[in-house]
Amino acid sequence: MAHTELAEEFVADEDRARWHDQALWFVRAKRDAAAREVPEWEELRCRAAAIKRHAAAHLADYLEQFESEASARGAQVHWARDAAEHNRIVHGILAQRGAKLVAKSKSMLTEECGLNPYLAARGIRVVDTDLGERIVQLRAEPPSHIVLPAIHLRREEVGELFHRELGTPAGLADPERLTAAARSNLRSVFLEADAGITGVNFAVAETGGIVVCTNEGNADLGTSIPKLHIACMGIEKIVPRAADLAVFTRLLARSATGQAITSYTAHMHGPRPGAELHIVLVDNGRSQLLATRRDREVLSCIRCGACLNTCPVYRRSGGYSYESVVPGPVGSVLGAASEPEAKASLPYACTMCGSCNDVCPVRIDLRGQLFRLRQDLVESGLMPRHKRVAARLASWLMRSPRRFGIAGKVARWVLRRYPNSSALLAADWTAARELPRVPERSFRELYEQRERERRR
Amino acid sequence: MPESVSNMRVGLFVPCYVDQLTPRVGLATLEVLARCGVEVEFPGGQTCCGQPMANMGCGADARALAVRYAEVFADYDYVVCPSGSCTAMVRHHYPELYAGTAAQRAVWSRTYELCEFLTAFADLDRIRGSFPYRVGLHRGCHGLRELRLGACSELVHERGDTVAQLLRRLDGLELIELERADECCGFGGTFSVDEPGVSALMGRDRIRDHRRAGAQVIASTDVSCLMHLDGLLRRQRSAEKVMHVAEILAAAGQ
Amino acid sequence: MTARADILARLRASGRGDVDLPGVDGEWRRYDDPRRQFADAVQAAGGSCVFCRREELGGRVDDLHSEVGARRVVSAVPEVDGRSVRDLGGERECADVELLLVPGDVAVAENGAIWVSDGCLPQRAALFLAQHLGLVVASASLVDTMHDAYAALAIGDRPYGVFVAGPSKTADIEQCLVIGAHGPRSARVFVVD
Repeated sequence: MAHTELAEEFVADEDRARWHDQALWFVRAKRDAAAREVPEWEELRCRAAAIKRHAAAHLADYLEQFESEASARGAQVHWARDAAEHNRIVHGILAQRGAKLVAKSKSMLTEECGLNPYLAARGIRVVDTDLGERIVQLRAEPPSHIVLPAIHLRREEVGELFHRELGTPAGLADPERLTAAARSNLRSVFLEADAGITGVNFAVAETGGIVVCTNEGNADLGTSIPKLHIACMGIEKIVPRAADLAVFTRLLARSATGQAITSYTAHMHGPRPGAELHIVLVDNGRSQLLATRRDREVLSCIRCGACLNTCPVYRRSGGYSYESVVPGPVGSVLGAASEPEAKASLPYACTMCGSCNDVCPVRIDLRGQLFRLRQDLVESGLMPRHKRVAARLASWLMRSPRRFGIAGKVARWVLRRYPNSSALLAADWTAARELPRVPERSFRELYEQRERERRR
Repeated sequence: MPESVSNMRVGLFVPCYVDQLTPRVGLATLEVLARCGVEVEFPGGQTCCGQPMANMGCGADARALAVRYAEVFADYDYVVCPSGSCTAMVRHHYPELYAGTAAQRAVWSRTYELCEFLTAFADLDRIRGSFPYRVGLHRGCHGLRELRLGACSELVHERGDTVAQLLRRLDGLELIELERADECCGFGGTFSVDEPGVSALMGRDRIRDHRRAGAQVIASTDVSCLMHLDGLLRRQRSAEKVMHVAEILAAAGQ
Repeated sequence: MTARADILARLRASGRGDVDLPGVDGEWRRYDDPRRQFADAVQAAGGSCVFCRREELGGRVDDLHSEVGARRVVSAVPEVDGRSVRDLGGERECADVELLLVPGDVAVAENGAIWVSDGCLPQRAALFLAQHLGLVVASASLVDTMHDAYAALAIGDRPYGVFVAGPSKTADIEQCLVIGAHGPRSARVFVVD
């Protein structure tokens, strides 16, 4: 379905749409306050943007450096061209060691690759351990937000779910007690898991280390008990130097949730003594985005979610209306750049307000990318015919002041003479709004008259 | 004054929808400029900047309009336009979409939004008068985040506020504080009819914010936003009025 | 062709571009009162902060014992009593730890984070399984920002190091902050002069 239809469905429940909007605006407001605590905020954004763009432009070199440093520290590095290869590799590692239960922390990459269903189909139980991810996993839903996976749910809905799945008392909707229930439920998973799978926030070429940020500590727990840790990362996660982490750790949590830093920022260099660390480097379309200089920028994304939180459309249309692993502005860019046909409606799920550009910690020109993607879609013939015709007609009219003048006059006459029929014809406008009150004469007519009078 | 306006030849660009739907905004623009000692001409060959087409993705269709724009305004030292959005189209998106010749780019880059123009070139002491109302300033997104006509809530930089600064010159005018200082109203060109439900909810949310803060007038540098908000206000039979900043400046001087 | 060769070839084919890697130095924030800033940041992260002299540390830790009612105390800090962290058996044994005391190498004023590495903690699981956490850091190790922190650390020297800011927490249910998600339910930082 197109974003249009799903968004209209979401917004039909106005109270819920407003509640969703306010929940996310609250996060945006916290982000603003956290950013203002850092006088050099805008300088940090410029640095982060330059580091990421530099790393993307020299990615092959940095990946090789990373691989050699990581291997020297005892990690095993794997390479995957696409989602299928990634899933095969991860399954192969788990199967070889007879792993049956996996404690997994958040990783947008594994969502992108569909790892959970792949492993489940092969008899491996994967438990998402981030509370929000656990909630949507129990509901058999995907996350609706990249940082706040269950932001679309009310506490009562979580209460019902936990009552059903975890046996909490009926009617319990207190977040504290619900969280406690999930904590005790997941403790046994952590203690019994055969392997931990995590995502990667940053990978450092210079040291061969990976950095994983969480608030709950679930990534650390999930990887400090089992003998096997598999870290899955997109190839764009590389930063050149350890010192670059200062820039990104200062920006990430402030942009994401308004915290100065996440509770845990773990740095892993090689496996735990007596355990194994496997790092899977995944391309899955990234090298293709990199090949186009214009699309390259979107690979700078550090998945903070700030553009989702600030997007007035995302806030009122919900994560699922994008039907993409990554929703919101950056998801629309990623989606339409890699699958233009399937995601043709996404660049239009935007008022071009540009707020996403200004919150983005790595200064991706999201608004500009969406604008250009619209041009690309039209060029590839992916715009509906009636719209294409309308735009051509409008351009033809506007090419001549005479035609424009006449068309304007006729339109105004129709609007004045037949307001009700006009309203019917413009149903998409008039469902919620009145048509503009139309003057008898246009500015150019009034101006000409004024000039004539002046000359007299 | 940074530069004498008396010897300048200034062209007025009136966006197509202002021309056809709110000619009073064009007249108010003339009036405010005249009061500041700027005589402008309205060359009749102008039509539309092409933004609606470009925002649909049909920028290529509108190339001829960018060329026409450069021709129509070739002989003017500056072009002034009572819309942040159309100014951003001409100044930022024309070069990006069409590259253009050096001469064309020069014309495009000399295009100023009205408040920007007044602030840069006019004798601001002539902006005076009384407008004894509580005014909520709705920031048109393109004027704000592309032309930077005001402080942007997302950025940590301190920045001047071109529009508010002009309005604050008027006696009795009280600028109200919004909870969300610069959220989009949801118009978004064809977005308003592509996703009418989301668009209208965004607009109603903006109106609520203005109402909560006690606005009597919702003002903006852009008629497009105001047309959307006005349509919503009239559907609700609300008392708040919408006015372009030029209309307020003109009315105050009466 | 292996996936590795394939990916690297594709990346190399798209050319390098001309973006220079920026330097690491900058005009980063300096705090007039870093101790106060640090204490505020720890509090904002849901933890608490105590400043004391080395000889007072034992007493201050005892206060924490009784506050959290901990009986099974494990210490990785030499001058603090408790079962030694070296005597902990397997990871699963760490699940019984009620209060864990660990030394930190660097404390960061801007965000209240403390760097803890596995150098002092053979069982890193203890850091997350313990019900309560006490972090002991020398006041001389307090730096202003993350830039200073990374400059002071060699992150690649140990298999594991982590910045800990406050206790474990989540806000995944309706954005309500809940302390004690999977890891410790409280965290106290002792800044020792």
